[in-house]
Amino acid sequence: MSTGKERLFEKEKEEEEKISSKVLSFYLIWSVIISLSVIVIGLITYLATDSTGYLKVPIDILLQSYGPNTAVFPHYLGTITYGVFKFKSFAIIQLGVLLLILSPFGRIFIQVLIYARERDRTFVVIAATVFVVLLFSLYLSKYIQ
Amino acid sequence: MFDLVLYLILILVASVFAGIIGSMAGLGGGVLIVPFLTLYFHVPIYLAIGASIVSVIATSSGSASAYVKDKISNIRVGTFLVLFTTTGAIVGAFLGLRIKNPAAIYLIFGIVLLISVLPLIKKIGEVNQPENIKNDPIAERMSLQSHYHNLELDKEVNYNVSGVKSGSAMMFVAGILSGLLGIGSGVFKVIAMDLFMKLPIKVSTTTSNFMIGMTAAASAGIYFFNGDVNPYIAAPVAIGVLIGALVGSRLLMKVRGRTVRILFAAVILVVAIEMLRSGVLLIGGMGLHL
Repeated sequence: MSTGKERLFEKEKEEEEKISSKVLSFYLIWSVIISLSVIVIGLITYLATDSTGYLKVPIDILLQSYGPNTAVFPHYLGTITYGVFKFKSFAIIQLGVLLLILSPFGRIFIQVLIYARERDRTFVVIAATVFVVLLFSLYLSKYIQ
Repeated sequence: MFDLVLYLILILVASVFAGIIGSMAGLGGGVLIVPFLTLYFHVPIYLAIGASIVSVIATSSGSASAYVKDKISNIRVGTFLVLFTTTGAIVGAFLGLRIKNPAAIYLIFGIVLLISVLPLIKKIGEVNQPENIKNDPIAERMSLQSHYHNLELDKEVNYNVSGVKSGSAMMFVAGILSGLLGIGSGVFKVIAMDLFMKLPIKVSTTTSNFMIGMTAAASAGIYFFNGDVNPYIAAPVAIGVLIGALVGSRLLMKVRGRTVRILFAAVILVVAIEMLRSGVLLIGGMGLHL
């Protein structure tokens, strides 16, 4: 049998968990909607202006273009930001893609905050470690070549 | 310009198709995107992987939203296991980009597809609600056990979590495959939670969904900054797979049964054989330009 105080605590915990799942669920759906909207805006810009904003190549080359030295599309923070301000269509698409890739980073960060609020020390550490692992992946991307 | 628009639409349509089949087969769209792009559009496999892994984030976050709200997925279990899938994914992405001969990737992809067909033919998780499962000491310390509303039994069900160590090891493998092949590798995550950790099947699948986006992000960043995410391909793929997954999940509620299941298993089997064939041809140096 649980005492009245314990039961109150359980109820509070349930309430908090309810709020946390709502916050996470809201974040999950809106991160997808926003990043895909940016991608769609980029695609529309591409079709409307008939320009990628970068090196113009025929379709068979375009479908084969990749790698750190490609001039067909931007793939660094600096070049993407510059391209977005110049309203280059491929830069806008890349911004949307990058937002999508980074959205799980934000999700785990929110989880760190949620666990901190619930005073769940073990899970603050676990979620924070996942966040660091994700950041580390970005850092490591420099050393691929 | 005409060619450019035409191909954009073709990739979009193929992605919708992949999304529908993927979600109806319970595999997520990513598993078919890489084969479609490489086999039919002759896109280099690294580019196909880059586009696929981005689409995986979109579909998993989209569907995870509903499950998190309904409190079916076990976020504590998911967050703990994501530690292993993300580290695995980084290892996988590095392996993938280091392997200069794509033949190996084609072959591994083919084998993974074959394994993915198995649950379609013989459904894993026959036990709707595993009973008499003891909590693992690690699970006890982190209080991973939880409860959810089981629709079939129509009641709130409590469950424990066992086999945390073996489950975590399997998750690391799932992460490697995700990073190496640009897939969500949900099948392997579900195997880890269902077979090793004895979670109820509904909890396993929805928790796997919650984990897939974060796992994918760990390798997607590496592919992106390495210039392997081509916007001309990634944009229609992300949009197409998401649309396909939405349509697929609606269709799934209407058509049920073994026939559909076997039909999808057949499609994936054909694609698996095609990937294996391409891999063998690449090893043989038949001059197949992919």
